[in-house]
Amino acid sequence: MNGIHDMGGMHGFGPVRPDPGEPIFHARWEARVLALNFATGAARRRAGASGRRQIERIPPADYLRIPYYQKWFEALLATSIEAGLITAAEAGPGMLLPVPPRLPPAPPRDTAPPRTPAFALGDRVRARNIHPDYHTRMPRYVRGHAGVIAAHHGNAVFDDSRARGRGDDRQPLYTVRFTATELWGAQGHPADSIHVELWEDHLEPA
Amino acid sequence: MLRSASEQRGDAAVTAHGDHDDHDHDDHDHAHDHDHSDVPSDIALRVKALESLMIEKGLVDPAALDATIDHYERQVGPRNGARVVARAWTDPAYRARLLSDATAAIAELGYSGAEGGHMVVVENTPGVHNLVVCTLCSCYPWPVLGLPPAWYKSYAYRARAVIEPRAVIAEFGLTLPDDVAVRVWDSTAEIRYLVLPERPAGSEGLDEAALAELVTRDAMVGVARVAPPGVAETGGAAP
Repeated sequence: MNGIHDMGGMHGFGPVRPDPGEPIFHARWEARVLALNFATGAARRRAGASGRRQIERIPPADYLRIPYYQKWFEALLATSIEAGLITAAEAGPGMLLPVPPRLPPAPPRDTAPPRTPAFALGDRVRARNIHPDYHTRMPRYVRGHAGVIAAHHGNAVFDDSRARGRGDDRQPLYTVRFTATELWGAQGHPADSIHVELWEDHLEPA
Repeated sequence: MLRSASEQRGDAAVTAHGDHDDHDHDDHDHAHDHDHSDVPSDIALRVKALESLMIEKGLVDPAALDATIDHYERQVGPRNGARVVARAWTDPAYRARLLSDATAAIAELGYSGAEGGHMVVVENTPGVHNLVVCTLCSCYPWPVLGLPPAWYKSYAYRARAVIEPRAVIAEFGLTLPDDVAVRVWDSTAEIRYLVLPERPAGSEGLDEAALAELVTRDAMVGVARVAPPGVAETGGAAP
C-alpha cells in the first residue's frame, strides 16, 4: 500500500542522528516486545498473519509518533488476534490498529510446479506502475522505472499474495539495479545505483 | 545524556525516585531530572499485561523470553561480522566463498539464525562503496551485526539513503570522491546484506584477531570505512 511506511526518497526528516552510547533497548518493555514476537512468531505466521502488513496499517500520524518497538507491539496484538492466540477483549484498550478479523484457515500448500524465470541476468526490466492498496514490498520510488536484473534468487514466497490470503504463489525473486539518475533525475549522482529485490509479478520487460 | 543499565531497568518499575537501591549515580553526570515517573508508562503497562496474559495462556515460556533477550543484548553483535570480515581479509579462499554463498560462509564461523537465512555480502573496492538500508521498515542482518541502531531505523535514514546516499555518508564523516560509485541495497525481501569493507593500509602486519578489532558496525553497514590501525575511525559514529 502507498502508506507512510514507504519512505524512500521522502524529504523533511532532517539529519541522521547517530547515538554512539545507545543501549540495545532504551526501556525494558522494548526487550519484552522483541521476546514476545519471537516466542509467538511461528504460530502467527502459520495462521497467515503478517506483522509487516499490520505495521503498515498503523494510522500515519501514530506511525510517525510512536517509538519503534511500539510498532512491533501494535502489530503483535493485531496478528495475535488474527491467529486466534488472544481475543480482541484480551488485547485491552488502546490499540492503534483496528481489531482485525480472525483469519480463515490458510490455503492448502501451493502444489503448482515452480515457475521458470521470465528474466535473465542483464535483462532490462521495468517495475510495473501498480499501486496496490494491500501489503507489497515494491517501494513507490521504483514504480514505472527501468532497471537491469542484477541477481536471481530462485523462487520465493510472494508477500503480496500471502498478505491477501491467496497462498504463497512462489515465484522468481530478483535484485534489480536502477541507476540513480533513472530514479531521481538530474540530482542523482551519475555513478550511483540503487538495488531493490522485486518479485517477477512486480516486473515487465523494458 | 547517557543512561546506565540500572536506570533503564528502572523504566518499568513502580517506585518513587528515592527507592532505587540499585541505581548508581556515580558513573554518570546528571541532575535528578531523568524521566522516572511514579508509574510505568502506558506502553510498558500494556506490554506487561500482554506478557502476563500470554504466559497464563501457555502461549509463551518465560524462560524462553529471557533467553531471547539475553541472546540479543549480550551474545549477538557486530563482533560477529567483524570476525567474518577479518577472515575474508586474511583468507582469499574464504573471501571467495563469502562472495559466492554468504549464508554458508558465515555459518562456517557459527553465525546463523533469524534475519540471516539469506545473506549476501557486497564488497567495497577502490571504485565501489556499498550502503545498506531498509526503506520500508528496518531489515538488518541480525546474526552478524546484532539488532540495528536507532539511526538505521530512523525515518531520516530510511528516506535519504536511497536518494542522497553521499550526503548521508558525509554526515557520518566520510566524503566519497566522484570516481567512487555508490551502490545502495534496499532490503525489500528476505535477503540481508553485509558490506565487506576494504582492508585499511597499514594493517599488513596484524593477525586476524587484531584485524577484527578494527572493523566497526558502521563500516559493515556502509556509512564508514575501516580506519587504519592507530588512526581515528574514518566516518561512522560507533563501534
